[in-house]
Amino acid sequence: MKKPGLQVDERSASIFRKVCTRMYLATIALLWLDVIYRQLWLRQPVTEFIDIALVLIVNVVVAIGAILYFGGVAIPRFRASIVAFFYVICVVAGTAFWILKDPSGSTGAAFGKLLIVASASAILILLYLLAAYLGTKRLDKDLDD
Amino acid sequence: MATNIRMKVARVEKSLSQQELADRVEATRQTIGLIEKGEYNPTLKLCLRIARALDRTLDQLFWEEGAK
Repeated sequence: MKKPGLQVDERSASIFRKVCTRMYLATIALLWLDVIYRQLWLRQPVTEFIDIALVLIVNVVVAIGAILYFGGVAIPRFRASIVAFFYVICVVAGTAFWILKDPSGSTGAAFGKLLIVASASAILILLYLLAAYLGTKRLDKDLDD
Repeated sequence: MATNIRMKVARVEKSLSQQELADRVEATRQTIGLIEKGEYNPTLKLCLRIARALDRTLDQLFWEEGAK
């Protein structure tokens, strides 16, 4: 018996998820470009786009954490070199961005920025590793039950 | 992915249209058409429903000899 209304099956649901994922990534990328354009090109003060920046940061941080937790990415799969690579990328990109934003600072101020970015990146990566560990434990527990 | 002629033959032998088979397995006619054309890779859950609806085994409908 044909059901009335929208006919949604696994293929349409799969296409829906695929489109949503791509549009989400496109939206995030465009918002990042917008923030960078406002900050580095237009030289707007941060207060003028802090809302967009906060939404972006929270969204991306939570999304990556959720993927690691619900995906249950096993800790042994994380090679130390990969973690170190992402850490270095975070520190270099974060520090470079901060220095580009305010290039007039002294070497001491630049070192201070580097320390803050390095600490924040370390905390973030530790939280991600924790999310992956907890996700793996949750899946293992579900499999044992 | 190759055309799934075996599924089409099994459906015709059961005198079912694509729409009737789709209704039985809770899918859309388009999905059944794409599976038969080999353009959509169904989940195991849907494969099982189709096999039951057509009174065939998974092997008879979906196993590809010599496929890697």
